Amino acid sequence: MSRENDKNVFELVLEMLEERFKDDNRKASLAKRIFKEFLISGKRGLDRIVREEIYKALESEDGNETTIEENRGRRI
Amino acid sequence: MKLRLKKIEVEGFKVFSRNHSLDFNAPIVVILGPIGTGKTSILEAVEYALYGSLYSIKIRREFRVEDLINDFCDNLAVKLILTDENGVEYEVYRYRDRAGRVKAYLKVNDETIEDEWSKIDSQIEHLLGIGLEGYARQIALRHREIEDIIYGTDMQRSEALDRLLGIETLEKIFRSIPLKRIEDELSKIQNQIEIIDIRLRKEEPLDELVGKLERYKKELFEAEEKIRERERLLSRYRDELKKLKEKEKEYEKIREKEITLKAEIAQLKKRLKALEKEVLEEDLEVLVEKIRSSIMSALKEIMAYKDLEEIEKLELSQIKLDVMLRVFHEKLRKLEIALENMNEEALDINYQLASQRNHYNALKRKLADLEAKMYTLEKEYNTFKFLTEKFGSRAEIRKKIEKLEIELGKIDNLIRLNTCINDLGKHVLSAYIKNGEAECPVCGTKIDDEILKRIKKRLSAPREEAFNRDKILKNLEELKRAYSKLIELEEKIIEMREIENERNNLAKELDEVSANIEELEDLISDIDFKISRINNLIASASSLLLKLARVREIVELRKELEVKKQELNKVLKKAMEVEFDKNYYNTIEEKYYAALSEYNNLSSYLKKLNIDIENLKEKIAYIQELVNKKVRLEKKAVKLSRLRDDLIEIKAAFREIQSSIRRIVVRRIIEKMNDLFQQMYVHPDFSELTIKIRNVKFKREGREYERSMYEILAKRTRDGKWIPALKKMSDGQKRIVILSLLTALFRLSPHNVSFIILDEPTPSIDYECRKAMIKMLAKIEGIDQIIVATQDESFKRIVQDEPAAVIYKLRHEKEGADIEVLR
Repeated sequence: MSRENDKNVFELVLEMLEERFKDDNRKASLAKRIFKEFLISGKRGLDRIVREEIYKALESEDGNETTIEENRGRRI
Repeated sequence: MKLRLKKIEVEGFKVFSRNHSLDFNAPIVVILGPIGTGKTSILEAVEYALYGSLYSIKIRREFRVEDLINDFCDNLAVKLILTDENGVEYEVYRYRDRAGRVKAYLKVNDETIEDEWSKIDSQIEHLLGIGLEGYARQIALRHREIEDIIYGTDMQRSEALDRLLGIETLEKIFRSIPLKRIEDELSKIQNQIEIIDIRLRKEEPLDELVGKLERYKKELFEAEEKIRERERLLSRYRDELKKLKEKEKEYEKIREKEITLKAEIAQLKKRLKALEKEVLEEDLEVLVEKIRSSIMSALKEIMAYKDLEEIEKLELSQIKLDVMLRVFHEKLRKLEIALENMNEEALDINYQLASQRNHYNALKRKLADLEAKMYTLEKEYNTFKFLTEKFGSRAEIRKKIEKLEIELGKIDNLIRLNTCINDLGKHVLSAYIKNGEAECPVCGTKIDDEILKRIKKRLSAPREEAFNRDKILKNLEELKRAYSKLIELEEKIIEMREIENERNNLAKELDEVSANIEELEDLISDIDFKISRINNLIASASSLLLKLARVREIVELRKELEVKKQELNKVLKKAMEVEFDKNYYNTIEEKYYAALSEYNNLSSYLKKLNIDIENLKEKIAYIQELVNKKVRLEKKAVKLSRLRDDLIEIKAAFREIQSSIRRIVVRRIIEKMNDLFQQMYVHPDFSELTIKIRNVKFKREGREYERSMYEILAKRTRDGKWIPALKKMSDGQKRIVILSLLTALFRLSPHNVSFIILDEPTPSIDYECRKAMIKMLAKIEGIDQIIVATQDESFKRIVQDEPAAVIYKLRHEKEGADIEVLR
């Protein structure tokens, strides 16, 4: 039996994710986080991770702005 | 290390209200019993003791932990003992009450190594090398799982097999990654970008606004230059005006001085004219001499010779005029003081005179009173003379009185004696008169009436002594009256003498007062004359001095007038020197105000330009902000898109990995499964098994998915064809196939468990196959213990040949399930 036979599914998944995203640490890390969090907390954990990632993407240097005040300043 | 079950004790757990103990220390343990007697409960008690929960509670959430407590109990308690190949015992205890209070411990060879619930869970997981989920899939093989695989749809079967293979998580992850949420966020951002674009389209282009701002700035610069120029001009005019104002001030001051001087000169002239009209000009020397003469005469009157001499010695000169005048004034003041003193003296004399006159009048009134008293007393004196002439002196009267009193005393004694004699006679007479007849007490003869009358008359007749006594008494009273009168009169005469003396003294004093009055009248007359004279002299001197003062004032005014005229000339000269030109001043002022107006206009223009620039800047900032916001949003959109792409990629990766792992695991399983199948299935019609994987597209909740489906194939010996096992084979054959699969999974799993639990594993399997299955399981390497829970009584016979097998028989009792050990 090959070396793979000695490994459980958890180890295999992590190894394969690592292999799959070997050129992109960020993706590898995110995929592993998703896998582990899903095993621990199920769909809720997965949702939380995605929420965090969305928040990170939406976050800007000047805060999480949503709207711009209209008609600021006077017309010339 | 391989662990197997040794013993379990349950109390209050599901159907077991009482304490029950089951010894598992055997290679095969069969738990027999009809439905609802607690076979599965015992298997669940093992699971609960190991993991503190059940797979059906924790993962599937079919019911709650509290539901494990027997309805007639307040708590549950499970004690499980495991043992390894070296004989080490592991005792795990779990307790839970309805209030949620829990207790637990883990002992190794009777020594507690842990008593904290959650830590025990991980310790057990570590010991067994498998978690709750793995335990539920690979150790405790439930009837339901087997049924799902055999009788479920292709999808249910595939899902169940995925669960058993441990790769359904990857499928779930694949399905659960919420790409829609990211799409929603992306859509929101796109909307915001669209809104910004709409707003930007409403505004002027940014470069135009910037160009406008530059133009405004240029205009502002030019305007500032102009305003600075105006400021310089204004400053120059302001300085000039300041100088001119100072000059004007000085000029005005000189003009004021000129006016004041002219007014003063006019005033002086007017005053001089009035004085000259008032005072007839007279020689100063004559005036002085007249004053000197008047003062000297006055000083003579008050006999101030020293002052007189001083005045006399004064010589008149222009320089000494002031000294002279001062001396004159001093002397006049002295004269006035002297005059005041004389007036006071005159007042004093007048007062004395009035006092003397009052005194004189009082004396005269007193003298008149004395005269009146004397007149009365002289009458008393005549009475006195008359009485002394008639009765003699008071001493003589006294002697006469004493003599008469002695005589009166003698008569009184005689009268008293006679009275006694008469009274005695009357008494005697009355005692000897009986029946109107009287007898002589001496002789006893009868006394006739005549004699009796005579006797009675004699006894009652007034006596001579009584007449004499009245006479003496009369004389005595007269003498006593005269005596008393004389005493009274003597006092009057003394008083009269005193009054007489007093009258004489008064008369003398009156004469003296009269003389004083005359003297004072003379004195007052002299003083009044003197006062009048001095008054006249002082008035004359004062009048002359006043005149002299006016004359002097005229001289002084003339001098002053001269000075003022000279001063006026100087002021006029200075006014000429100042050179203030009012017209020039007005011209400069006009120019200043014109420049100021221009400056103000420029200021307003500058202010407006500044406001315009500020507004423009604000507008540019607003647009810039919009642009920045758009850029930020676009960046976010890019980030989100990247996240979405990443997640899509990750999602695909999970699917790929799932396929890969599936292939690996299935490959492993096929090998083991065939080995086990061939041992368990004792019939010759099927020789081999395999698992085929195919991808199938399906729709769920409106979305299309693709997933791998399993197909278990059995090789038919007769024609060597692979036929779908779960479709073509009988129920018993199917069950043997699935049990082969599950046991293969148990073998492949890297845990420390050497027991396998089968819950109702063999319905529909024939006796031979059942027997073969149990024997095969007992032979499998790594399985030291088989726990079977079943309703199938044939198991008693199946394990008959196994000497170490234990059989428990469960049955229904009134107070819950009861357990009987059959073997």
